Amino acid sequence: MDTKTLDSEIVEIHPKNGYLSAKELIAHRHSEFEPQSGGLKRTQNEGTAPELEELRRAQEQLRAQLSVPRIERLGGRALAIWNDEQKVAEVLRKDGKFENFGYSEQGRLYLEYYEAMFLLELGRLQLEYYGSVVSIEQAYVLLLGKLESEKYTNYLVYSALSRAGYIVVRHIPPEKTPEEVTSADCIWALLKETVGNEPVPDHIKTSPFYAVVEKRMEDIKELITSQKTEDSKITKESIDLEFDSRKRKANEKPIEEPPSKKEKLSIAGRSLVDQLKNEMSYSKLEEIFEKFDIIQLKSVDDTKEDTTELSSLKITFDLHLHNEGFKKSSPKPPTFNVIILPSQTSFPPHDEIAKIQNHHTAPLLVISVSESKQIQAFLYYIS
Amino acid sequence: MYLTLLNGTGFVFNVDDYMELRSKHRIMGAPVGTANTKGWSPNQSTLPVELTKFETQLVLDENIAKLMDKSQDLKAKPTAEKLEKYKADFESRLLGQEEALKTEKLRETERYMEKILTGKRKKLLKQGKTEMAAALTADDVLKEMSENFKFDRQNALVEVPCEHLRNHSAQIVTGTLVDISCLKYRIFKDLWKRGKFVTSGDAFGADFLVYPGDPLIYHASHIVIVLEKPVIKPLELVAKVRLSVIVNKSCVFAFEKENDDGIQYQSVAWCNPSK
Repeated sequence: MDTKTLDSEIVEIHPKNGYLSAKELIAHRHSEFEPQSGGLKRTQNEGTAPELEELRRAQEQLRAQLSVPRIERLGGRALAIWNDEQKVAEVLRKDGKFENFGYSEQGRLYLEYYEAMFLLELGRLQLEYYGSVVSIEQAYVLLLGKLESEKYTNYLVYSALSRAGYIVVRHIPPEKTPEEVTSADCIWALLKETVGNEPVPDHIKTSPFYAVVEKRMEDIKELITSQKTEDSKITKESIDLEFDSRKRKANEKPIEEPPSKKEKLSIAGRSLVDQLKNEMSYSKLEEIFEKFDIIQLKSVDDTKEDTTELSSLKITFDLHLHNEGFKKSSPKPPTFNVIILPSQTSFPPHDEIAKIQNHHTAPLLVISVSESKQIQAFLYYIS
Repeated sequence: MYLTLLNGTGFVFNVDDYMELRSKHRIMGAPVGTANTKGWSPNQSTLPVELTKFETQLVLDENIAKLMDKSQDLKAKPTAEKLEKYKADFESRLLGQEEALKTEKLRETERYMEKILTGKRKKLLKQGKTEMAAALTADDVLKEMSENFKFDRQNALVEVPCEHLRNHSAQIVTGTLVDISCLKYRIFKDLWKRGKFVTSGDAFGADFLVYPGDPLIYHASHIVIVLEKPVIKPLELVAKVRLSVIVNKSCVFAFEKENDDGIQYQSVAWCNPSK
């Protein structure tokens, strides 16, 4: 856009309409608009009298639909003030069911721009700026801005989904730790503790698998260390070494099978192992290694994570259902993750969708808003 | 007429302005505001109306309206003097409702007089004041109501107006929003100048839809596809024309004449010789 406003003329605007009078306020307080079904549309414009009459009535109806005022008691709305520096609306007074709106910070409740706009347009919020009540027009200037912005599509989508009955909240990335701790997680945590001196996280310690895995590891350790003192020194060393190399190798090659491991064992420490091959402990060690659990490598996920962050797609909203007992403070996993496609953008390829879905449990809803402001949502299932 | 610059295009907040744009100048726009109707119907939207960039540009080109950047004034902190005035105006609008609210209360009382009288009599009878109950009239009730009416500021009505109703200043936006020499814009303008309603064709995967009259009561008559070069593959032709036949519209291809000599329209019709 090469619009210029810098040196241009400044115009004083005196709106033709004034504020409603007391009588008008009372008269229009409960005015509602009931859409009537218009019947079939015509295909040809012949300019006949019935056509003109039909058009007049349709236009009158449209005017009525667009003129429904937003009138409420002074004490009947929630109250918030707009902070233009931080671009947030701070709630001073709540009204009605408010639990699905806003976020708290240091004991104060704030509304996101789309929430404030939505409540304002629904007549549930009185927004003030420098001590006076803002008009819808001023709110558009303050909250959404004069420049072309994704805020406008975000607001349209937020409003449509909210009115459709969803609880729409800003997307919260799922926590890194998976919901359920598997025995593999316990093994990794124990390994990290032994090798890397990292303490075992609490949520893993409480897992029912933890004690079992710990016990099994202790048993194996016992098996290894119960050798003759001389041997045990060497074996210990070699085992540490094996752990390390195994890990390093595995980072490059996530899939490993027992045969290749054996091979590695013989290649990695050839001289040492060759020597030890004749030892009694060799067969025992072999036995021990056979007992090891083969678990999936965590780093497989990590590499994918990096690429996802580079992707242009971002999840804007999470959708929750009303009947599932949504709580702002401790939200359950959402029903859908919403991605809003910027206009003129192509749909994401399969790989990108798959990558995003790897990190989010909820199905993806990709929404596009067309030039004529029609909202279309596409649900992705990857089986 | 003034449009407000928002989202990089023109917005309309006044219903008269919009009806004029629509019925007199055949500019459609799209209502993007959330309507405050009960039931939160997902299909209803209201003012403001957002015009497409083409529509805004056309309105500017034809001197129908001016595009105003209001952000400076509407974001600015009002002077102490102005703020004082705003507050005084607001307060007087609230307090000015006392009489009207009282009248409304009495009107409501009159409306439900039958019920109120029965209730009051019942109460008096219960207290054993039979005479008083018999003597109670509608006028007594109204008098009592009117004497006991207490104006509470919290009950005064406040309208959140759609357009900004206070006097304010704005800067006229000069310059263009779209490349006015591009083929698509010229086609849009040309179709509009022929007296048609022209909207975005995204509902049918085309560039424009052309209506013979206000889309409130007329179906679109033409689907317009803009071709940068007058070349089309057979399969594409079949797909576009087939779609237009199914939805009972004419398929029109619009492209530049040779030697940049204006716009050429080519309509394609379906014909089944076996019938």
